[in-house]
Amino acid sequence: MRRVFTGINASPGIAIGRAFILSRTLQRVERKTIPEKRVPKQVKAFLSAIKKSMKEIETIRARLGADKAKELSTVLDTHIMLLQDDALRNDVIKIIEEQKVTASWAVSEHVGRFNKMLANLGGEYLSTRVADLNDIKNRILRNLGPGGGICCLDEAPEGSVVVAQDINPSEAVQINTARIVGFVTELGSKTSHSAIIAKAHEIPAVVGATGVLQNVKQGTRMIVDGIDGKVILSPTRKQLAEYENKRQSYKYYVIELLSAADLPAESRDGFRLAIEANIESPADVKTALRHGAAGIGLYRTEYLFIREGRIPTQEEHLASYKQVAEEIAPHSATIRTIDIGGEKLVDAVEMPPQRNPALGLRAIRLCFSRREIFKNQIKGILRAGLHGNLKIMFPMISGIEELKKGKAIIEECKKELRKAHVDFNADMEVGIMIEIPSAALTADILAPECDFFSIGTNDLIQYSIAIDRANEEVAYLYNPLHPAVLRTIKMVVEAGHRHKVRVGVCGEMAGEPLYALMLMGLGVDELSMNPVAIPAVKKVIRSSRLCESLKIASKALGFQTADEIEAYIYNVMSKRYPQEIATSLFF
Amino acid sequence: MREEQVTIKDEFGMHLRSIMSLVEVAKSFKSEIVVQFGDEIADGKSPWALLALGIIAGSKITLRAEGDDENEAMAKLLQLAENNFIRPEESPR
Repeated sequence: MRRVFTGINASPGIAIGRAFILSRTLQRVERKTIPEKRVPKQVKAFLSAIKKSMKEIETIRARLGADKAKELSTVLDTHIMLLQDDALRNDVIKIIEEQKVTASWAVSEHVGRFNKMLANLGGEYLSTRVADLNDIKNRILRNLGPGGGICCLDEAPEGSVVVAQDINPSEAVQINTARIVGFVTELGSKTSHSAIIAKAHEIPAVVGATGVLQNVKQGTRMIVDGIDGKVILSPTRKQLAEYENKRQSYKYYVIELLSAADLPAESRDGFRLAIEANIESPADVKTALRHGAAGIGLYRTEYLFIREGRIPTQEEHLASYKQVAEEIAPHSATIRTIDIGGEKLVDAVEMPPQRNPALGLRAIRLCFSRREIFKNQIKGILRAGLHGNLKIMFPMISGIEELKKGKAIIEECKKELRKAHVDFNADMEVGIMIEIPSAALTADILAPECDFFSIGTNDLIQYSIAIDRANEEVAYLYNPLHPAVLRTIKMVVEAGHRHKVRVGVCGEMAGEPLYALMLMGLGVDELSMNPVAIPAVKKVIRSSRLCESLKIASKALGFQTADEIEAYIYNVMSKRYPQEIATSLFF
Repeated sequence: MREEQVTIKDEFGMHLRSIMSLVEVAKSFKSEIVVQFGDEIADGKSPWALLALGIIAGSKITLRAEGDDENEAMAKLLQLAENNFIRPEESPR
């Protein structure tokens, strides 16, 4: 049996715990007819699967943490009521008996009928419930399968290291940080969902660790080394002692960094950068503040859709944004309107299949075509603006027409709110993400129409170099230091500054200590990053000088290849800041 | 027997949560509760049956209650309908 595996260090730290295998691999259900005499057995299996499913939900509800209890228990209550309903029992049993098919097929058939019927009604109506029905279907199917199997992160016992093929966003929101100590996935990269979530929760993680699932058993003791990207199964006593040491020393390093997190990001010669946090839910604000964030530079609102499993109401938007505005005050929070589509699919919003989703109907384009979803969110932001300093940011703007159209919709929302006599903040800053090369090239045209730019480097790199970073065949070409990327950042900064527009960077690149001085030297005003990255980036900036950063930037711009730039930056930075660079998440 | 017509005001029609509120109220009474939409009727205590009606925003539905506590049941149902089928303790803060 193999015991040591290498993967990508996605979230730093050391975890020692027991494997909790997340298995949600569902067999495709196929129509299978059965002989008459096996019908009663299938009916019995179905009834006991329903009972098991109900018990599972009760267990999850009992284990819910207090903060999430209210939202989630409503959802769980709904699922219990649907499982209790005699109509479900009778209809499925009828299908089993009349068609002489397996219980699994009957359940899929039954829920499938509902989905089809609801789809025919069209519109928003459908999306509010399909997710719940599918969730119930999958739960019953799992319980019909051999041995049942654990399915849900909420069921992980204390001290669990979650091991999975990959972790999807809807699973990630149920992570209970009190019980989960580490993450290991077979797939994924540093920028995949599981990596981002692990970093946000400060849980050590290794992604892309191929082969672990084949060798691990439920409950196997294991070590996750999120600093060097290693996974060790059934460690020896010596290894345990060694890693316990490593775990402690990393902990002290973090404590030391955190103790200085509240100091401003000011260079020794008095140049200040605004350091803000990227968050995914109101609960993240606390983490952001603890790590010294002076504001929220990117609030990814998609998670509201994922958590609810349906399209949130205006009141739900309002409640989330109000909470963020109040908790981050006196600092500001920049709310990015939904970026759904592309690789970010949510159950709540039905999407037609697209041949090339990254270049298809997503983000602001989706918002223009599903305007009610968009307007509800805008109204929620405008209303929450009364409770603090909020800003609106549009994703995936490709040109001035889209920016103007987005702003016109904001005005339309204001008019409707006024007409309904609902109070809101009419004077809110509006900015855009610069993540499409066409927007970067026309930054001088866009600047007069908005209050700020935020360069989304993840997508900008992908679109500039034409690289799908999830495609392992070409992922090696995905490089933040490509001369084209640096030139683009410089150009956007200059165009913005000519029109007195602040320019921030909010991609993964912003949270990398290695790049901090280069970005500062390129003239960037704000860096918004994963909260846990803030202390190290601040430390680098605080011990630097502006002139030094200008030199690094101008030197970097002079090279012809990403490799040369990388070698230069790594050389300069690792000499100056050995510890920050060693524990950095990227190298 | 009591019978009343109400209009669904919620922009998402009778969605899962509103169906749940209705079922919960219906189940708390002994009377038989029936919801009629167009020509189809559904047991007011069965979420799947109500879901199958496919009640979209702006629809008019008929609520029917028959039994010992039909008056109290209808009063509660109308109150719920008035509140967009959101139970008061669930309304947004």
